[in-house]
Amino acid sequence: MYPLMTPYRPGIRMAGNAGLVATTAVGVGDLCHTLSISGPRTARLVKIMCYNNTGANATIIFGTLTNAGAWAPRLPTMMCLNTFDNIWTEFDIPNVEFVSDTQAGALGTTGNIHVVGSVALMLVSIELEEFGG
Amino acid sequence: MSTVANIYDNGPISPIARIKENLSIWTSGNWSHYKIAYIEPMPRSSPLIAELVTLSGNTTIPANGTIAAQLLAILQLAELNFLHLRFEPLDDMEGILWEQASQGRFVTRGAQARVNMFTAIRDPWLASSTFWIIGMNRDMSLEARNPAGVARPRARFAFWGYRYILEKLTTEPGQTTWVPAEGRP
Repeated sequence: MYPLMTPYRPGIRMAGNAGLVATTAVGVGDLCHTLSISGPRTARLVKIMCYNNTGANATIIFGTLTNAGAWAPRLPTMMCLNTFDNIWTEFDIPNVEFVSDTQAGALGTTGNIHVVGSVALMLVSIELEEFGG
Repeated sequence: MSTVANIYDNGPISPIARIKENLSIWTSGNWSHYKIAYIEPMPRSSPLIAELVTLSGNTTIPANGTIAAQLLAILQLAELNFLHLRFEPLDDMEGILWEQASQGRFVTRGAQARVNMFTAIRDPWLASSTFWIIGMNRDMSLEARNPAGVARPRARFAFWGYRYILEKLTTEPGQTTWVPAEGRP
């Protein structure tokens, strides 16, 4: 059983389906995982790795997009030390659930998981758990 | 007195009757009656894994897309053979079961249930995936659906269970185990 999960709500674990993502420092972030729609499913992050070799410390934020395409942060800003393996496991990550919300425009969200890097060319890989069916 | 599983018991798969006991099998709208001559296990192993992307001649299964039902030659039988199987996906795929290519299994009027990676979370022995194949030319087909928002290169499904060899009976036996082998009305 996963340490933070209650036994009556297990999910299935997988890597972010965008694979290894290099940040591009764009405001709406870079796509790390497209949410599966069967059910539909929801997801929470269980591991984050960010390698920063850009020459200076930098930050990342995880979030999703509204159905109007605007950035919607979901996790707090995380510091990525330069030349370090910056690793967070599920003990460290807030249990935020990424949810597809079909309300139109700014009221709804895609639920897809994006990362905004403060600089380009940090390498980000995530692991997540999907719930639903 | 033999101790046997009820046909959909939630536990490890086990024979539903013993050798020399009787089976009454629902197929083609009728009950047919048989005596079991022989039973052997079909262990879950690589020959019983079907990979539907390759089988269908594709290279990927599209995002939120399907691979149309594929006849599974690995589960085709000789006459008077009977397979008692369970299955599960090895990749994050949903399996949709068809008997005789067009008769859906696990159906309501408006939906067809699927077996996916969540099935084993609530049903660890996959009892709810139990199905049956009897004889020649009553084959099963499997359709795969990709729930993910990205295309994927693999759709593997593993099967395991038991194979029975049957002897046909001409009359309904006094004691028998009733088995719904097909979803045909």
